[in-house]
Amino acid sequence: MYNFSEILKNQRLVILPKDLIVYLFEDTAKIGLPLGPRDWMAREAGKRYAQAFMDSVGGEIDLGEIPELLEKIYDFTGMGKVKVSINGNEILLEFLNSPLFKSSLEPQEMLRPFLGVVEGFLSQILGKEVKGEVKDKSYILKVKG
Amino acid sequence: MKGEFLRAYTRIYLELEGLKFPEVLIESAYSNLANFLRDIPVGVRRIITRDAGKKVAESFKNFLRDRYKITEIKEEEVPAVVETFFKVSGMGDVKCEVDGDKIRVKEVLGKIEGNSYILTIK
Repeated sequence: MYNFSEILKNQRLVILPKDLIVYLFEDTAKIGLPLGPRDWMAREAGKRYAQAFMDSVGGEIDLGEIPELLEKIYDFTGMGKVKVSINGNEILLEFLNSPLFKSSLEPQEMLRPFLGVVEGFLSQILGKEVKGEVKDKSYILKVKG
Repeated sequence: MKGEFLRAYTRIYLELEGLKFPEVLIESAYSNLANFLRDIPVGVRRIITRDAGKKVAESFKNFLRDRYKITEIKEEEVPAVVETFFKVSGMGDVKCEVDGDKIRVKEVLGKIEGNSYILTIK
């Protein structure tokens, strides 16, 4: 059992105002950049972070520990309170709140750019391909293989 | 004196109103984003970042007004705010100077030491 809170506290951080993130992503979404490269970029960032996180943990993290880990990461970063549950090979991540929902865009549109980050992060942590979709205020992520 | 208070208030603003991202995530996303945005005209990119910057300024000014009854930041107080924003955010250590109609922001510690923004007040 890892102390995820302690590991998160000891990371090197960049702190950016919520409003900066919300409006940057809102305006970037409005200019209609294609999803393919955006998803690739987000997945790569998620994988890089997972690799650094695994180095801090110094061991493996199994599927059963994912809900606690994700809930702590989202809470720690300030990206929102989330509730994560696992059903077979499906991970459901529900946003109970998020500063992203301050945007004039629909929650689904604001959550979409960050989907790749969690896909890449989980793919790297679990060593299996994870792909997902956004539905309302949730991510539905499927672990393949 | 107010400059010193502003440093403290800027720190508190970021602690309360900031999102904390792992540095490695930002580095990866930003380096790929910079390549990807090369195809977007500079003018469009600048509108997006200026707009976001203005929203942050608005939110920071509201924070100062609501919490500390501060309704104005004078030009000579700008360095305290800018230097603290960069330092506390983890974006780098900078030295900021106001010289007439120019604001110079120079990195003093970091990966691109010596790089500067020179901003003209119109």
